[in-house]
Amino acid sequence: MRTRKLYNRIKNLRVEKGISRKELADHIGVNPQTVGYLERQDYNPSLDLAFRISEFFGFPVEFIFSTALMKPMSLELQQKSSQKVPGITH
Amino acid sequence: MKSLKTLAVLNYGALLVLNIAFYFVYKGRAASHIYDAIGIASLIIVALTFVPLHKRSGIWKLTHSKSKDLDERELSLTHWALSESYGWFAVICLVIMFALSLIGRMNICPQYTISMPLVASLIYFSHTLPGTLIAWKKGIPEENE
Repeated sequence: MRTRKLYNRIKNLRVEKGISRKELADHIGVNPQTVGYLERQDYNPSLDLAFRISEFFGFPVEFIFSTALMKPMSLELQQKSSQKVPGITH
Repeated sequence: MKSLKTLAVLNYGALLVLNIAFYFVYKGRAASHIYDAIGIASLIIVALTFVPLHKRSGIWKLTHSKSKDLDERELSLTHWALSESYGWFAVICLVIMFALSLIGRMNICPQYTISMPLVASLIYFSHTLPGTLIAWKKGIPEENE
């Protein structure tokens, strides 16, 4: 079965959280080597594993995984905040 | 990954030499002590290359663990390796049968002989082939953290 490449932010989120691959692996119930594969985007996780990862980081699945190349998180947040500015009412 | 490929070649190469050497011992050819020595040296090479290739790399654990101890990536990798190795093992067995029948036709030996080292080698081969396929085609990345 041919599958599309899935891009993800797992490495950024893990580094930001300050945890090791082993700690993340223990939380999401996989082998630390599998976390390596996920971070290198060499392996597409199942829906169940994707939800476990999103629950662990506390972000929606679509924020962590994408079928398109992901922008840096800072750029995305900057764009979101600039989009919100006109609508903000104090 | 390159070193794993080299180890795999050494491992199966030594296994082949071992079988050829012990075949001549079995047939009671002259200078059998030389073939004995070559066979035993090959056996040592097989054992020495087995440790880093299958044990230290974790491939043996991957292909011989219970499915409940593996995660989804490891399960799919093991499934791929096992299904590939079924095909390869059948081909190798057919090649051995063909070689034995040729030897029989050429009157090198009066009958088809399946020696004990050959049986032991086939058992070893069937157990290590899935892991060797993983080492050869997928590789085991070194985790640097």
